[in-house]
Amino acid sequence: MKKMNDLQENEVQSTDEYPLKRQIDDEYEKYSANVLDYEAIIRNVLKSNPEKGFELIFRRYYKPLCSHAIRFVYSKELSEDIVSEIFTNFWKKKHYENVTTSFRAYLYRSVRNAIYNYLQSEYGKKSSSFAVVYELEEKVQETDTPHNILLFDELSRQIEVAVSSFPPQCQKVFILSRFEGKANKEIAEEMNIKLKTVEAHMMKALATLRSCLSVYLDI
Amino acid sequence: MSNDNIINKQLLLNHFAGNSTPLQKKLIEEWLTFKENMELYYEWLDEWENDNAQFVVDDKKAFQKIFAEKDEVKIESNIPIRFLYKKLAVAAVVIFLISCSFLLAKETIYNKTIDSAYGEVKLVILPDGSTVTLNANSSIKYSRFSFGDINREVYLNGEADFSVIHTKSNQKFIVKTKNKLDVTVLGTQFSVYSRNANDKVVLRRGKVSLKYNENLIAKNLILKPGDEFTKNKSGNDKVEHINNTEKEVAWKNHDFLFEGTSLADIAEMLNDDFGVTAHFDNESLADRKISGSFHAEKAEDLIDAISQLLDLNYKTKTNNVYFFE
Repeated sequence: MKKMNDLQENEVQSTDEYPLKRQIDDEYEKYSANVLDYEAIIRNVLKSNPEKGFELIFRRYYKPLCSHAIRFVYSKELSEDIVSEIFTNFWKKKHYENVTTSFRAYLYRSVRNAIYNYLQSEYGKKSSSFAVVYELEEKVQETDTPHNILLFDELSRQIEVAVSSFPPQCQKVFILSRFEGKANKEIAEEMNIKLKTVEAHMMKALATLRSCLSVYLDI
Repeated sequence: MSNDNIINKQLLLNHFAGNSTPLQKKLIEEWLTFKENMELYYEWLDEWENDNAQFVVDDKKAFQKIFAEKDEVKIESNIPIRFLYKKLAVAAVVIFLISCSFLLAKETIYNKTIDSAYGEVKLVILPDGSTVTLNANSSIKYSRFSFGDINREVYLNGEADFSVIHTKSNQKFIVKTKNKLDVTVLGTQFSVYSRNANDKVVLRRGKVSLKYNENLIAKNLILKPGDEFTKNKSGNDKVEHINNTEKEVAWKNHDFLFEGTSLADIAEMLNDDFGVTAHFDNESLADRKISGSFHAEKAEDLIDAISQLLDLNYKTKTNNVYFFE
């Protein structure tokens, strides 16, 4: 308990781009080994200084959440977009005041929901409205059943299997396009193949993915 | 929790890696029915993700982006500002003060305004290479000299489609409307509609952030491709996701796409785009609906199409048209 009080009294002056002193960073690094306590620290800090608390949550969970997201959406930019949006709303709408579970569970659930919505709108019937994403954030816990969790894990695995099974050239094109976000023309130049070939590879990859996802989405 | 001895961290880690058997999956599903176990699940998932990162993430940059959008009023206090932005902010203030006196006296010289006539679709190329396609009866205005110095700002009245170039310095491009809606982009394709008191933004590629007032409350919103944002006279705003964003800019080819559109709405378009006021013999005519796509470069084209489709007669007189059965 002693450590928590020390942290609350520290000033908020920045030496680098994050507004927390280096000293606090070390304290938290030591604490992050014990994850449950870390959540308790965050809760405490949030009460007295929401900005500081939010920053702690962000630094702790942003990276792993992005990594989690990319397994489904396969795009660096998109996964960061999705996760950033979750955090932005988390802050702007003050969701942190209403979280009854750990922030970790809340954030992972929210991100998984957002991923699901994205996949649904990308590959499925284009009927989902933007507003649905926000709504679901409040009902996040309701939709997070054991069955859905396993289903989602299975989806992740299936996507991995599907991408691994692409023929080598096809896989390389897909990764350069989706993961790296490169334009078809760039890919054609880099791989020294025709633009039409790149487009054909992408079409094949997306078609395979779509049929793989059709089991899990409303397509 | 009778599965204690089977369900352990190692099993879950294997599961995340995709190496669990169907039987094990079933066990995990049962194990998850307890809330404490769900927390454990996410704890181990988080640990696994930390140990198996898929790509390098610059969370510092991401964090700054969120706080930059968070609350512009607070920028002066303890939110981290990059040195460059601070410099630009200072420069902006200085230039503003100096140019204030000039601008007030010589609006027409320092601001460039481009108008389109009724029925005209006009292509404008901005100093930075971005293109703006103006629909009929619309105008954009931008600073002749300082466009592109600090930022790229244009004022729009009417309807236009934008194709903004992404600059190396990540300079923002902002479209401002009379209804105090700000559309901020880095480089992307989108269209803005702002007539009377209604605003609409449709994003085709990239990302835009919107800033506006709803009933005296300042709001911020981020759009993704395929999103359509509308804000009407009463201040109600909403965002919808639409499939075919191309049809939103059919006007670029002088095409009108109607989907159960009422004659009253079409009459408004006749007025907005062609400057022709439509009159109806009886009230019920205005409620008639039309679906279909029409090519119309002049008011007559559209009026003709309407009359043929709905089997109506019409008479024209200067800038008025009278529909009757």
